[in-house]
Amino acid sequence: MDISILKNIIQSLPMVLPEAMVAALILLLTIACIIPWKKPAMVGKSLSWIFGIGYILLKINQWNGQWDNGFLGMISLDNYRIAGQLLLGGLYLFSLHLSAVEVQLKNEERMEYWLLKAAILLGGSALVMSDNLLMIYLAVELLSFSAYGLTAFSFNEKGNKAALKYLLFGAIASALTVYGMSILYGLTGTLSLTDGSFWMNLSTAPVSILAFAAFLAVIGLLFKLTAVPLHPWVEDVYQNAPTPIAALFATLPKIAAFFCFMGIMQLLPPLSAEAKQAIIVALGFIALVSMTAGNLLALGQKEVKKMLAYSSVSHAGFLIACIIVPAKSAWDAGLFYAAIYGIMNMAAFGLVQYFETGKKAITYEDFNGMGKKHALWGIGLVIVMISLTGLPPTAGFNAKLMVFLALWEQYETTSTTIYLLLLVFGVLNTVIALFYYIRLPYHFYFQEEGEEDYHFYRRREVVIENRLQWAYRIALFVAILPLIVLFFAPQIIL
Amino acid sequence: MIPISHILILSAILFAIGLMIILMKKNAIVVLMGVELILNAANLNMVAFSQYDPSLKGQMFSMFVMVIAVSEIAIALAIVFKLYHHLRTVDIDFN
Repeated sequence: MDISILKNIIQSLPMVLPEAMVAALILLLTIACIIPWKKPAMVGKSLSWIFGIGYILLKINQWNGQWDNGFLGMISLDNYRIAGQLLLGGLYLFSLHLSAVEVQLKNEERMEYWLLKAAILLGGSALVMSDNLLMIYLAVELLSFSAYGLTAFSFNEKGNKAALKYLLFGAIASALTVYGMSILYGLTGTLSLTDGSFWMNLSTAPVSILAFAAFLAVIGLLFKLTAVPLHPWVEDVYQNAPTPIAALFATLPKIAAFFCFMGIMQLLPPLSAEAKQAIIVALGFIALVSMTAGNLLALGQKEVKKMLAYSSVSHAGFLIACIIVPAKSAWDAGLFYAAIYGIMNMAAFGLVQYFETGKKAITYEDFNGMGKKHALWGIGLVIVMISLTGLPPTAGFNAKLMVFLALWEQYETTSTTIYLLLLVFGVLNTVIALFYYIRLPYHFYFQEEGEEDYHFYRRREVVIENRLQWAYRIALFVAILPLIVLFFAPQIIL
Repeated sequence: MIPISHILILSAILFAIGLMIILMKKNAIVVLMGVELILNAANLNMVAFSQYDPSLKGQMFSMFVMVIAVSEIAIALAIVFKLYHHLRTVDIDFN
């Protein structure tokens, strides 16, 4: 064996130091599973926090480092990807906090819960920096497998059904992905995306086979992004999984897949102009259908979590719109959009969880007349919903605006119709989105609570401990504050 | 040596059968068998193509696919088993 290969592997070890931290956490939790702790949730939570913060610190330490390809071209790292991974780490910690509240309320003291969550972080982090078909496949599967387990963690019939649906969709998507990848391998003779011959050979390949294989190969990533042909699982899974888990699903895998996509699109230039054009039009079409269909489906929902699920499909459309613009402005817009999307969705799910556990509020009608008693929570709700719609004075507005600007600039320089179409549909969809997002604050403040309903809900109300109330308030403040601050000072992220 | 086109045709047939099973069958376990067929079709492709690749990356990939398929089936059976507890059936009718 060539000694230079070993050297390369040893040299690239520091690249995965933060990921090694998460892997160590997973191993520790595996061992901790078999020890009969008095308070397993406490142990799992503290271990996850310590290692999660360690992950973020090590990632910050990697910032501005001279990273190149590592592990023989399996992974690569640059500041853009590190920013994405830091975002994933932050989302993971926030979801840990939400889980801690959930776990204390339901007395759900299982160690595997924390283990699977850590596996999601590891999978997402690996997906962001993968540069090889094999690596992408492994990372997507790591994300999916832990997600299937976590979906079933509500331990009821509906949760199990949702998990099975998720699993079958995921299994089929991953099988098709592998088949597509195998054909790509046959066409190019290599699995590495950074390899020049990969794109050179693709340029000379027959178009019909190439289109078939490429479409199959990106299905896995589209599944993680919940783009439209692969979205039907989203409703059941978000509705029936425990809410902190749904919050994690709505943000972490999508943002990871988004950054992976961004990395792939950066490698496109060796392709011929027609092939690039075809890819952009195909993905642009998926983005267009995603944002429209997601919005229209969200309009018809009665449950708040289902609405959030379909709204995340529509947001996936905007993320894909960022992916297909090959310009610096789109990169910034994508990073900003992903960050804001993650923060506001975490905040939205956090609020929904508060009302779900405390007040058993699941549908829009359940929120009727709560504004009188929970005025402060309502302010948070309004801010988050306005941000999700994309109106000022919240950072959601900046995010949408930056995407639209990037699309417009690209249309002006290349005058490709798809960019203009995306822009027009994006703006129209923002208007549609207003209807279903603002419905929640409307029910909250302006609808009267039904008389008989009132007593019904009073009886079901669970009193949340004072300490937990404060934990909730602080967490939501931490999530909502950036939405306002970043509106006035978006340069903090960029 | 078997010409590569034979293997590719076999794998395409496996892929088509797997896809048909996924689309037609209602039983969750049979659907997973269809998924398995597609995975094996991909494995065949990988191994067949790797005869042109001196570093044998395709064969390595197919190893990973096999291991992942096994763990996928393990998780799937756990969930199907739990669901059987609740529903006394493993048929899928999503509604």
